[in-house]
Amino acid sequence: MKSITSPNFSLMSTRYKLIILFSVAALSLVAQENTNQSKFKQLYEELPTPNVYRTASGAPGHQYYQQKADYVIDVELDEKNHTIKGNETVTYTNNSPDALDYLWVQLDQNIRAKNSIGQLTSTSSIDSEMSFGSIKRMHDKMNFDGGFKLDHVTDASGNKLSYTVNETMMRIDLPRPLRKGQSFSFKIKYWYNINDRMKLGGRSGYEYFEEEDNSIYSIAQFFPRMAVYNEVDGWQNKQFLGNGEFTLPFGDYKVNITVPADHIVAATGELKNASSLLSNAQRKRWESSRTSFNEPVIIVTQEEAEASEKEKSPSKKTWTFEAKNVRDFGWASSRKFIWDAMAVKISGKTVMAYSFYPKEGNPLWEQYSTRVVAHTLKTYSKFTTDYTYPQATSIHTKRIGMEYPMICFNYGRPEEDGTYSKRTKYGMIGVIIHEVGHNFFPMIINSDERQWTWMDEGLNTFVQYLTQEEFERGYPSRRGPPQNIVSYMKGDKSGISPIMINSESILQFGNNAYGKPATALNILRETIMGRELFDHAFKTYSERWAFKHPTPADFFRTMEDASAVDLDWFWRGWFYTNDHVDISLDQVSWFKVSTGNPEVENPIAKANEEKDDTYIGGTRNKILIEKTVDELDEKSIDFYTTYDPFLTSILEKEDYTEYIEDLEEQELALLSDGKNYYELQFSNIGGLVMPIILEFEYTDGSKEVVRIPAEIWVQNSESITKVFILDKEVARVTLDPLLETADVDRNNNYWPPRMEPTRFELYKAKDKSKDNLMQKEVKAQEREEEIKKEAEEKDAEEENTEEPAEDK
Amino acid sequence: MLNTVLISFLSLFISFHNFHVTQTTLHYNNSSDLIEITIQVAVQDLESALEDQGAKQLRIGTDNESKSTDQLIKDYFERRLIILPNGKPTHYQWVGKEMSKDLHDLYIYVEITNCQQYGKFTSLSVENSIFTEILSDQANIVSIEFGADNQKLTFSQNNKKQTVKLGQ
Ligand SMILES: [Zn+2]
Repeated sequence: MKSITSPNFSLMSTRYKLIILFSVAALSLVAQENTNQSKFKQLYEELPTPNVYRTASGAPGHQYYQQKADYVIDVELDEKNHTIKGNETVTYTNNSPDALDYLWVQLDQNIRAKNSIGQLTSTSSIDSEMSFGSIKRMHDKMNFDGGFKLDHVTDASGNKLSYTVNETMMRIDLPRPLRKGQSFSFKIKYWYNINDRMKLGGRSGYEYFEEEDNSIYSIAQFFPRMAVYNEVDGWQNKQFLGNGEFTLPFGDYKVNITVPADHIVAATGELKNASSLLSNAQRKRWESSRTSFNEPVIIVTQEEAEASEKEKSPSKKTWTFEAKNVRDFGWASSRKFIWDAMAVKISGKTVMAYSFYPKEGNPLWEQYSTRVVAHTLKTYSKFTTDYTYPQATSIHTKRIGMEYPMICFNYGRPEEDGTYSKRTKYGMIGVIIHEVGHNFFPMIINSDERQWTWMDEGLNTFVQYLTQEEFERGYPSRRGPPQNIVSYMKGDKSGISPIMINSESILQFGNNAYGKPATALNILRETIMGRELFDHAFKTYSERWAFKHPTPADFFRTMEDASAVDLDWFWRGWFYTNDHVDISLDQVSWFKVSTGNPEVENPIAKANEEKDDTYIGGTRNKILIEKTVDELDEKSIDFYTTYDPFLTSILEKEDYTEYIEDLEEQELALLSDGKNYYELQFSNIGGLVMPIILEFEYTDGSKEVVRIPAEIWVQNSESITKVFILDKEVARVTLDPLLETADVDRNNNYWPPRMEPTRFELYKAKDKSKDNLMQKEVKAQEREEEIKKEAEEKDAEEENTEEPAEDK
Repeated sequence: MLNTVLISFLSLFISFHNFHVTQTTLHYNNSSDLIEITIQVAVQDLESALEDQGAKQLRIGTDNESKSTDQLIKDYFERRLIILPNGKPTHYQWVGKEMSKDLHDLYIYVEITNCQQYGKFTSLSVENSIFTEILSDQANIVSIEFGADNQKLTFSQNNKKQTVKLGQ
């Protein structure tokens, strides 16, 4: 960074000063290429043309439709063999204007089938240092006999239907075209092997507790599910490869889950037959939890769960759940489950918050899980749309975090002795907020996950951040604050992809689809739109698309339509490119208006010339040359030898008087106000156009922050200048003083220039013995004991040494 | 032929975790003649990698951290992050480590001292296979800051060694 200061570079007239001010615009006119490359170019070419289904305002159109898929499912868990047997009846209703010849059904379990597309297309290589554990896992994964085994596919009356399985998708050919408004029912009988999550990974599966021969089952994608059909993609039948999650229509579910009689089951929806499953005492506790708004009530206690763990019931029981208007169904089952519950008020209606966890989750889970569920429902309802489902459940599942409607699987397990680290605690709270938050994105605001990961993960991570901030001051949030995305955005561009990319093509999944969009929305809220406009627009999007299928364009358009803020440039930069933010404060020039009065200005000019004349040879000569020729010899002197150009002549004085008389009153005021004019020059190194936020620190120590919208770059997005008229003299200027733009290089953000220390330098410079308070406390105690022990030993030694002495 | 074998185990099907990216900065400090190395890794991945090699419950960054942790970490990175100025082997001097504010990552600081012994830098080779032995989707990003030379590289299971020219 360069910086040049021109103190008292005098402007000779007010007219001249105006020219400088306007030159900002003149400088901005730089030749464009032959096509429109503007960073502020409208998004018309990127976004689909609005139509009767989706309007230009971002709202559902007057002919918006969506399909419906209702399910009645009977499933049975075989604990001994770890299998699920299922029998489902699907009723599909065609609300589209199109007649359908076939239906596409998703067979997600097939990603675990031997030689599945997911396995074949995942790249891999052998590492020379692979451990036995890694090799074993590789074997386990390849040998697992996963995937749906289909017994039959029939219509409602049991007649066989023609179907074709293509990897994770199945086409069912309809006997006759399904027209608008018509429904078609079909049945599928199937079974599959459940994966051991801890060995094979998975969004669902079981965790086996070897010592007691028990498992926790967290079950999902356990039934063939309808694909989405709409005017955007036709059938969304992109194969399930592992990253692009799910795209599902809404519908009503009735699910009968048969499990060992001593299991406790949690699921999407509401339990319909509690009286045959829970004890009287348990049902009473459940009843009392419905009015307990401040504290969870334990329904199945740890003692009850521990008693169940010890024996295995040979008989079975069926739990019946019903859910209305959901896009999916998940459940969990174990005899290890403790269950607690708490009521939450959402816009006057009571919703239940539930947690199911084994004793291994305590004490952490009893204290936090249900409270966090309740807090999440309240906060998300405030920022998005009211939670209208009857309940939300958090299940304890080691190592994973995964979401389904009304139920999610969350990690966070204390040590065996019941202690836990800070990382475990906040990791658990964070994952519960995140996964419960997924109830809103994508379970209610039902975006296409197979196509766009950011639409649920990014928006959800953003609201997760807001929710964490409201949970505890100083919450150790990860994704949201702009400076946390800097190391990703300034990284090697070949390892980065734009946010607007298909889920399977994403590079650096977490940063791309979670961190960057969450940060972008946070920047919109805090810096570009402001909280009021942003919050209203974000809520408008959420409410418009609740229980519908939004696309990226619907989001982009609604945010602009509801706020009157043109954000095309922001979406273009942050969502369609890999550019980063690096704005450089290149130069600061200081101007003062000349009074024009030669008696004032001439001495200043003279002083400046003398001050500026700092060439070292000249300075030395002043001292070392005792006398020059003219100083020695009077005869060598003429007019020019003694002429002082800074002396004010009578002519100059007359000129000045004339000049003053000609001036208007306003011009006179400008001459005498003594204002400081600062011309700041910026360049855009990173590519992303962003607002310019400046902090001026004045020589009197006071500070002022000035905010300039991103549109300052509208005619030239590479370099600009801007003049500031200030009362006081500036000592320092800082660009982005509040760390709000994710500027990746702060070394060019200061005038006068200053280098920020690197993380390495900061670490090396600080006190190495900087333990946390708990460690300090422990060390202090240890030291005290050491001293005590030393003293005791010394006493003993003295005794010992005294003894032989006595012997002598 | 042994090829196309799967070794991912934590990678698929998880909707909320760290997604396996490390960031390393190699900064040449002219005045102290050091290569300052800052490695940012997810604590969970580091624990998995060290435990995969037989280490027991390290509890990195907690009050009960295992005593041998620093040594294990240094040994691991000496094998998995190899820096070769002008193609010559180097050793790390341990500086320290600290948790990130969000408790998710660990910053590891090591340095290579007395760099003049390698002569004027004309090239830098980096072998980076951090966590690739346990995670198939691992991405390792390296920023090289050697005076005016600023370069960025991405390493993966299929791309573990790269060389850049310096002082061109
Ligand atoms: Zn998620």
